[in-house]
Amino acid sequence: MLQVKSVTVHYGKALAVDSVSLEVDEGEFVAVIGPNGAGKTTLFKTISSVIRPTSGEILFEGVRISDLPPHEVARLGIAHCPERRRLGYRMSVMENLELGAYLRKDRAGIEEDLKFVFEMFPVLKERKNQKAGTLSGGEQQMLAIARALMADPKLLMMDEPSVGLAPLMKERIFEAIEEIKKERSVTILISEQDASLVLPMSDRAYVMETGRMKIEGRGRELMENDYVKVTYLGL
Amino acid sequence: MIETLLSLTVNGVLIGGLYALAALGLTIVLGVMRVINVSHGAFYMLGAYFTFLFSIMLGFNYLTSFILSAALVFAIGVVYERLLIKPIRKEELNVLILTFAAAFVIEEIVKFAFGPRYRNIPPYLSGTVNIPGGSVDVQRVLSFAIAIAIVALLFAVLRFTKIGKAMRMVAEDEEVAGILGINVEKVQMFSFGFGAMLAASAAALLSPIYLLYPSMGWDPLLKAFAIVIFGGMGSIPGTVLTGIIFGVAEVLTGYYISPTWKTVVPFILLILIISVKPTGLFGEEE
Repeated sequence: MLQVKSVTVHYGKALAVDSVSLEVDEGEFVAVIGPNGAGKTTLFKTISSVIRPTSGEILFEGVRISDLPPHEVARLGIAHCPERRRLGYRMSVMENLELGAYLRKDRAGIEEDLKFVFEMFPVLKERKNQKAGTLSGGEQQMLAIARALMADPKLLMMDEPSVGLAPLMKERIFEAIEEIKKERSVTILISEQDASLVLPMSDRAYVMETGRMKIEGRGRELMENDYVKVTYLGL
Repeated sequence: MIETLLSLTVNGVLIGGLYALAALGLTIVLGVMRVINVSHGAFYMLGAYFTFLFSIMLGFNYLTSFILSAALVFAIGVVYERLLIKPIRKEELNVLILTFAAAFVIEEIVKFAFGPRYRNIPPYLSGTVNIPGGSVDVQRVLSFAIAIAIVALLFAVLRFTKIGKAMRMVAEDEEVAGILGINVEKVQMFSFGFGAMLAASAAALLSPIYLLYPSMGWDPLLKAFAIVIFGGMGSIPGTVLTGIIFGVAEVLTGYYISPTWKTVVPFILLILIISVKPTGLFGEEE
């Protein structure tokens, strides 16, 4: 479904992503783990076409998306839940969800998805008229995930959905992600620093360090990998 | 005594509503595009001259002339954004200089087309209404009402329509707006045209009150900047309220102190507020 082929990205002259390849098949749950500054966010932004790669190409369902503008990539069915949430903080919860469904015309489907996200995160329903900026960090993360779901995407990308959250809230978010995985027929690409949360539910995972893919394998296999154990699972 | 004050205040509010309208265009372009548009005064001037063209030279009635000139300046704004701003928008300083230079070019074109001499547009409505302590022109009341209607329409567009919500998202986070599927460049082009149109509308409404001349746009430009900064950059309620405060302050100063101080007072107010609250009246800390 998604093919990232030897993509290199520079920020000015600084090398951020160094000839990275990655593949996600339809229906898969794929994780990218790695420390801060490994290039995970840059990679995700490049897939969304917010950043242009210096070389390499990205295909989505066979279409070359690496030179399309971001709104056209979104139109093809990729939703990106960005790192650190990045909501419309001066807009209401409801308006943020409406913007999530910006490209959709199917009213019935939008209503249905709204019901789904409100069932998953009842607090968002309670606060639907409140400004997003007044929500707690955890609630904002819920809204960011809900907003991405409102696009009814084929591929849902979540960039570090647990970053900066308290342990309990982290678990709550990952329960929701588990639920999305079970209930929705959506392919998921997720990046995460906390490997212990994400590896158990991943079909496959990549370890990304200093702009490169270091290890790749099935989620369970990586949990047994000595390097991953020591570096990411603290075992 | 108190009645004079009341009458002056009413007149100040009436003129302030039009200042608010002119400044709103600047606010929107600043908010949605992060562009400081020094050409805003030129769009204002074009609005006045097109009203003159349609009403005096071509003989349309005032209302038709108003609508035609607003629409024409919207179109000019859109083309201007596409050709001049879009290619260099990321370079903020270059945009600033470009809009400054373009304002002079537009001014020279108008000077060439209409001549350098003063023009005036006669009142589109005559008659006055008596209020305690004096009177107000019916025309000013109607112009104010039109200005408020446009401001209300703008609020409604931003709050309830898809394009309005898209504009607000682009203003908050351009990158994420694109990710959500919003065509950011299109929204910005529309916003710029819209901002130019607001300047032109204000000018069309003020043109029966003030004289027309090719460099007439600089004064309202400065005033609009002062209003935008005083109200808090990007804040629409702040801009509207400040426009009215400035209108009242001007009229009161003109009467109680001296007409020569009239134009200076808003800027004194501006200096005062930014030394107390640098983000302006309604400004948020980033």
